[in-house]
Amino acid sequence: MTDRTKALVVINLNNPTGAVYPKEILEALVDIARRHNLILMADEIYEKITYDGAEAINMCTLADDVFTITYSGLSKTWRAAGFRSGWCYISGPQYRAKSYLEGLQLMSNLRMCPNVPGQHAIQTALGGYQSIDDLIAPGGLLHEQRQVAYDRLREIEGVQVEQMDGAMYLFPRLDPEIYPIESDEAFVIELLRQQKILVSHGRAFNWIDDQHFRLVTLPAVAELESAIEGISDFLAGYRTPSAPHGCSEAG
Amino acid sequence: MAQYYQARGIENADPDDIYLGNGVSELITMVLQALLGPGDEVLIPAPDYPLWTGATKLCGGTPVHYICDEENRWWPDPEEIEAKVTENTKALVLINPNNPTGAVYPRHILEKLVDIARRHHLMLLADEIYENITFDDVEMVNAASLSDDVVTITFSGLSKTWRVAGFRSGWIYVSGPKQRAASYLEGLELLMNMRMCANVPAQHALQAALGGYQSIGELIAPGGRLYEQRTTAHRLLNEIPGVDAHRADGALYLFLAWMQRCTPSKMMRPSSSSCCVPRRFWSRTGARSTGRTPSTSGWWRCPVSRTWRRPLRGSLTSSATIARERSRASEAACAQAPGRGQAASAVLLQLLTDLLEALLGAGEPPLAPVRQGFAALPQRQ
Repeated sequence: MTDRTKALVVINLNNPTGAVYPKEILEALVDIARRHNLILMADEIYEKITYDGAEAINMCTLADDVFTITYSGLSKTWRAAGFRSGWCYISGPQYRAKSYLEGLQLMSNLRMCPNVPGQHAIQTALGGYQSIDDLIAPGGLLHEQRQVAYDRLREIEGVQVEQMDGAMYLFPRLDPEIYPIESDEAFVIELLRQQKILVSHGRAFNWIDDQHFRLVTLPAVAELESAIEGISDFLAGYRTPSAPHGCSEAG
Repeated sequence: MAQYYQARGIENADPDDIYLGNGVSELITMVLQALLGPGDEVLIPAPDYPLWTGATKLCGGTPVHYICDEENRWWPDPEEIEAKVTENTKALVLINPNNPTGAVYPRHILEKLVDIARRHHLMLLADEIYENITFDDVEMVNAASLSDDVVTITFSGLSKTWRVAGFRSGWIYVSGPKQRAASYLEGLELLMNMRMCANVPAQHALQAALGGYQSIGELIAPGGRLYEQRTTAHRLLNEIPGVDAHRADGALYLFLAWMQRCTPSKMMRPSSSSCCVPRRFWSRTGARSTGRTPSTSGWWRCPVSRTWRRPLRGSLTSSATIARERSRASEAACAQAPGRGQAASAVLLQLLTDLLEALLGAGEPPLAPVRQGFAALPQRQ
């Protein structure tokens, strides 16, 4: 925080980690924004995709004295990413941000409007039966895929992973003692070339080390199992010779 | 879409040269964003579609306006444009058919603009969103068809010709020596990736729109709505004393000159839904540099696809008299041969008459009768 800080961005539920932030943490973040007069920007695009009873809290519900911009849309929960249908909800003391909102309106006018077919889709999506609930419940596709991905990754030596509470991502850490990776970007490119498996490297998310990659849990269970097996084979070639639990030849 | 441009005489149009957008507006912003650094200049017509000026400024560039010649059918003046090229000029924008003037640029003028871009290494940005809306068989020439040695970005979309502006479906076609703009295109693709893609429902609409029966053909032919609306509006406006309107060759607009002084206090501020937009809304600089003094006239753009909502400034007394007489004449004509265009014109003239009389009278314009009158207008005019 400096005297030039204008805004605080919070991505909850989180891409790429799959974390869901608890209320105490969110309240503390709201308070930081309050005390330092920051705009709170809450990226909540994954908001309904939670597992095992994790609670997704909309930050705008935690304060009415903090100018908050909440982002969401049809792309994830309602799985219509191609529609390009999203929105932001402005809450808090808007009178303190009048010229900002005027500028935002000007920017919006530059591109006319959001596409109208996508607008029609919003009412349909938000009302009535919510199919996402079936997908995230035990037995649902997203739930099962999440479980399988987590179990299979943990079986790989030197892979440390936290189970996601929401969204559709795992962000495993590769133990640098076992996998000395100098460039995570080179790592994922080589994985792609050798195993035809695409994951995203941690630094693509502005993460601070080269030991992480993001796995998306949207593929079907069989595909995830096959892909993680390929990752496991590939990682075998990265293990250092002095790895404590023995090593296997690469390739 | 590549086939669309091939059919227009650009033989080697390739799908890889086409980028889709959520409307042309989004693409204008991205194209300029990828191109401009601080201090870079862009030649933009005056009058222009103001997004070009606004987006140039937002991207840190400097808009340099070239004045389109009102006395020469609102066509650009190539000499005037070339005089404004500097070492900072990066691109030349042309809007053809033109918003707000309705001009359609002839081949010989376009060739000169292409040549300016060629000799000064400018990117040619051809905003052709109205490309299929032309009247009286005026020739529409795609700028990209005039050269293969000038990097040209052609903008078009479904909003006007195909009348689905709400779909947000536009595209750019990149032609010419693209290898000379490789890093530019790389930057453009990066910007496009940031917003994922053009919305998919509208992508499906593209193929349906561009192929098969083209309904615009009927609308722009004599007897068609757009043709009749353009012709009627042009005739009626020019009958008002002090109003001078060039007959638009394309697009959906007439750009009027108001030749007499007016009193600002009698001006009515256009509402946001107004279809008549005052001249200050259009970029207009450089009149001093050409030695022409701006007259006291204002320019008003009247879209022919919608009704007018505000009266024009000018000599109110004589205008009221003329309007009253014309209104009676129109009513008589309508009684004999009612067409929707004529009926609407008659109602409009009556409204103008009422409003002008009110303005000349008590000083405070009574809006209630005006609102009632507008409500009584035939729909879909």
